[in-house]
Amino acid sequence: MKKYFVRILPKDEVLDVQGRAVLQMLKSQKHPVASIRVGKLIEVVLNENVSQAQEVLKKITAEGLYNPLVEVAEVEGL
Amino acid sequence: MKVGVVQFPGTNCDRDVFQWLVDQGHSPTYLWHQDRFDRGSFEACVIPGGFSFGDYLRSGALAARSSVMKSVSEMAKSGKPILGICNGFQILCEAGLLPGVLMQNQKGNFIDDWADLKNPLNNKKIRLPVAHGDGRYFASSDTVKKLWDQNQVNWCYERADFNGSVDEIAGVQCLNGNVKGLMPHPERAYQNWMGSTDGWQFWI
Repeated sequence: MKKYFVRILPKDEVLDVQGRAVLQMLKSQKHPVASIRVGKLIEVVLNENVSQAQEVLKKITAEGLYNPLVEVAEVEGL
Repeated sequence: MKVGVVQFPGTNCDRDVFQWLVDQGHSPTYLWHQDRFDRGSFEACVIPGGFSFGDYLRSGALAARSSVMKSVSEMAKSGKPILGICNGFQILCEAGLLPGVLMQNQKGNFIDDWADLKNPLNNKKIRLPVAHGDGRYFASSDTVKKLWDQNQVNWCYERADFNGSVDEIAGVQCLNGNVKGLMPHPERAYQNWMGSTDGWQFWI
């Protein structure tokens, strides 16, 4: 059994409302932060070997874990 | 008309939509998200608003991949009218039956208000209630251009910067026009005592 992570972030050109709110709050506290993007991290546990896991992760990601119109997804742990 | 009204866990406008259809002389039937049905069983289908599956992952994302939506999709392909209201609109977009996506409102707030709307196809103006947190319509600039060129934008907010939607888009339809989605709620405004009757016989 191995743990993988699917990391999802809003695309750069898409307005990230949550990220903007967090950035404004941090800036108001005088933290030296230039940019914040808020995304999601999805933990996936699989029994398959690495090449099978790659296949499964590719499939489940494409089938709906992220929306390619507005988000980018990256699999970590392969 | 026999109309299916789709229910997911978290749908909350189903009874309003049901009554709205009954009052217009239709025969609605509830459809549960785990159902599959024959596309011939209904003449039309409505996906009501709410917070299907708690808006987990993204608004409408989980509902769009449920069993009942496979049947709705078959119905859409056979040319029958499908209407998605609010969360229903989000579900239709996530299911790929309508282009684009609904994102969090520009100012991050939940908007509970009346909206003046205009149909750019016939310049008709109406007033309907809205209640949404994720109502900012977004699509790539190529897609938006295509929507306008192909007359697929059917409702726009009259007020600029209503929720940050691109070109103030409040509702779109598919190329054939049988699948329609909009964020405002026609089922909440069809009797005088509701404050507007513009939702009466809204879609047929």
